Amino acid sequence: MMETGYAVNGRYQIIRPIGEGGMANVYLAQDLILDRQVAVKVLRLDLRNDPNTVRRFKREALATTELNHPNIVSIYDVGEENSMQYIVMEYVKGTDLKKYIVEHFPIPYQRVVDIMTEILSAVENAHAHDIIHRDLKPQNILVDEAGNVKISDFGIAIALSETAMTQTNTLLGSLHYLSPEQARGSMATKRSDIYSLGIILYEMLTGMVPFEGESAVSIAIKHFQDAVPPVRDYDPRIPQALENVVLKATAKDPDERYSDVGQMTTDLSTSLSASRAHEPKFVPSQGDMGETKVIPALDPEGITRQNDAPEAKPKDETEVKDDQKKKQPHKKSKRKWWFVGLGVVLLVMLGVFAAYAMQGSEVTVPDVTDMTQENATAALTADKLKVGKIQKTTSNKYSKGHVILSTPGKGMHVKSGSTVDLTISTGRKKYEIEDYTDKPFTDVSTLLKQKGLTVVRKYQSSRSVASGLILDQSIAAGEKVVPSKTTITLTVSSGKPSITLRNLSNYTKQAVQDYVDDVGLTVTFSEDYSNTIDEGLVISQSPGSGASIQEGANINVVLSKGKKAPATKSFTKSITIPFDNSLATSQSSTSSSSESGDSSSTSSSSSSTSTATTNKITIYLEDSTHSIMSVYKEMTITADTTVELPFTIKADQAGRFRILRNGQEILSDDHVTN
Amino acid sequence: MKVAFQTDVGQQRQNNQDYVGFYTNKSGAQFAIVADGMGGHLGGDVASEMAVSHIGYEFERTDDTDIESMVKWLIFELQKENKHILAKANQYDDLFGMGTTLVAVLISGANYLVANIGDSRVYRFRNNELRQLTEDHSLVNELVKQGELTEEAAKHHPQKNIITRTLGVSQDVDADVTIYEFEPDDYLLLCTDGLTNMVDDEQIKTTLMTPTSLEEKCAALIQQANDAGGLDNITALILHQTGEEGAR
Repeated sequence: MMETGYAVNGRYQIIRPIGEGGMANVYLAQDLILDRQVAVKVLRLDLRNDPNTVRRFKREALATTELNHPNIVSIYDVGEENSMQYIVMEYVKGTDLKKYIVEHFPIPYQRVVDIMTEILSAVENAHAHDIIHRDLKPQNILVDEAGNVKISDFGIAIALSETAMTQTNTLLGSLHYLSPEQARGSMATKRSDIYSLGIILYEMLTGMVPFEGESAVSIAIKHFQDAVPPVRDYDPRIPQALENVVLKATAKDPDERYSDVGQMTTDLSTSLSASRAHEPKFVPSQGDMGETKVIPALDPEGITRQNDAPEAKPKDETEVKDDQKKKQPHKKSKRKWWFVGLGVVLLVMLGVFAAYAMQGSEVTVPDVTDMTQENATAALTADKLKVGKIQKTTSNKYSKGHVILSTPGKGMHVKSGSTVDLTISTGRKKYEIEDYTDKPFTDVSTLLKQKGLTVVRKYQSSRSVASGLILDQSIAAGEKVVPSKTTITLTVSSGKPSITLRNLSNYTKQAVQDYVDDVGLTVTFSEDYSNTIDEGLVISQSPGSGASIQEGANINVVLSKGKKAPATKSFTKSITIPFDNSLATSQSSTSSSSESGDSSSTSSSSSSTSTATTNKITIYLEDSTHSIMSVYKEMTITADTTVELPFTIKADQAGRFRILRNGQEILSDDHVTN
Repeated sequence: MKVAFQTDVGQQRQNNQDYVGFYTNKSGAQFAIVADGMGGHLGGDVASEMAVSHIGYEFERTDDTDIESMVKWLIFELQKENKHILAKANQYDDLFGMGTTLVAVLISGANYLVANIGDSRVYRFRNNELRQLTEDHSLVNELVKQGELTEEAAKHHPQKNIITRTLGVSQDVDADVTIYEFEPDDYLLLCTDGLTNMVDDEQIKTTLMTPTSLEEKCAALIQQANDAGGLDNITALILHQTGEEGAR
């Protein structure tokens, strides 16, 4: 006990104790920093020495801090002082739902629905965080002065259940609300919380819990065995739809309950509506809990079979997998619960014997689902039933040779000696592989993936099959496979084999031709000049060296024509050569004077006289084909004469010409361009 | 086989939702994986890291070298991881709707398999030719395949970031898996769209051809993406078949 006035961690000053639980004591305190009232829950002294308990207490408390919801008591702080663990949480001034029901009963249906809706909203939020309360009961549900509902102790139950010493205490306190599967020792799931919620709803409507008993065990047995009494038996004015919410939530088989809290909320919300007034009563199937199978009276084999209680385990474990994979630490608790559960089961067994003895020759069809045909036959025979027709069909759920269902179904009451038909699984539905060769991979892949197969693609070149079509399949046509377990590898044509082009530089035309013939390509040649590659050898190739191309493709190769002659240009130049009439005579004298030395003869004068009317023109020309040193043309003119001089010259050069008239240069140009 | 990888937050994003890893199993088979997380308030980086590190871890514990059985192993792991991511996403509000793309290359001797979910890519560079081995699982690419969009229009499509397949998000896992054979001197590039949206094929080619180390090539690619704006996280992983062990 902590003394009034003591400040936990110097911050939370104790005002007074407000409760004492199996695991912790709760105090009202003042938060000296934030100046508000809080509830401080302190781990009980006798539990503090167990390091595991301390660790779990902390962990669960921290997990709960994730939850932020108006109908969930907020956790403000988790701490430790002098090895004393404490949780600081929202202080709810008011009462708990247990007391509220006692004080306010009968509660108007609408108010019941409203309260329940708030509770469901809180639980839904917790479930969304994968936190299962496990210990929902009116004592854990607080009602503040404004009538708002707040759920506390989320996650605490599990921490508690893991400590061996307090287990029985909790079990007793919560047993009225505990789901059959929890009482039996299976792990709690979200649907276990739904069961507890159904019982709480029952209590709000009737003011009492459905099952009372002298001991924990007798209450547990009733939860296993007895149908929850209809609330309308207590109060016939309760709408059937509202009663159905209780019945569905409290179905023995978790699979028959609401699959989640949201569904329950939805169903509840319209349960008072007039439109649902004539709804039929919800009837859960009975006797479906593995352990509560009816045993033929005084049949010793039956007893042995009854001890096979763990047989029912797989069912619960699947459920657990779905709902709370992450909560690993619960394994331990499960084992401990199991021992408690086993004891309970033995007692149930005795109870069942008694029940059977009174029923006489009527028997309940046992649950033979998923048994082998032999075991099912044995079980039916043991229960004084006969096996009727056997039907076979595929099933993805039940293995080959196992019972899918029985007709009449499990839990049905029939006369002993009746026949029960069985439907036996032939295994998973198979898919027959077809011949996919030569079909487009994309189409086949889409089809097979739709059927649930895994498709793997592999490429291979092919000379005969077009790219993208299937060449081969890893599973032969006609084979039947289980799609979800099958991987098929399809070999797809990548088209013709590809060739990595060789570097053809300096190949001769013939060598190139030989190469392409050899590897299966075609070639188109073209030619070009090259200053570096000798004539007749490869200058370039396209695609380039190293490129990969498909067989049969064409490549382009350029061969050298050798060095290219530089470009020349041709043009003509018009030159007008002037005629000199005076020169015609004077020229003759000049000519004679100049030539008089060697031809001072009359013939000379006579000849000059004869040529007096002409000028003698000599043209020298230089271009790429002519030299300035040799005469290009000689002519005589009798008047001004225009000549056309043709030039062919290299691009970067110029032509020259010189024109002599009667031996004298009259025109010249050393830089003729066009 | 040589490998180098690098991932970068880019110029615009606050955090890096890409994740990359390279693992070797007990028999020496190698596994490269790149993931680009998406969605969720905070979940993108969680999903990509989960996928890469979980599958990578599982790979390290295998001792298989047969490529066909490795395919089965990978498909199984992808399905497992898909459930895992979904469960986490449903468990925490912050992570709701998270998922990731994934490209993986699993190498055993001369064979390798390429697996793809989403729009991250694997390229092969061989003989001066860059080829995308994966097909983007994006809305835009689906439209292109159906002839509704041209390649060019797709490049600048406003919805180009919508992907049609993911790990996480939905119950279905649909991975494209293809087996290839190495040739000497092959390069493989695994990258996220943060690279390919910013850097074109020619640049990638040039970078791979440049005679630098693989580390320098990765850094250069990321630098180019950042220089182009770095709108998204950028991841590049390069494998180089150096020619000894893979050549037959």
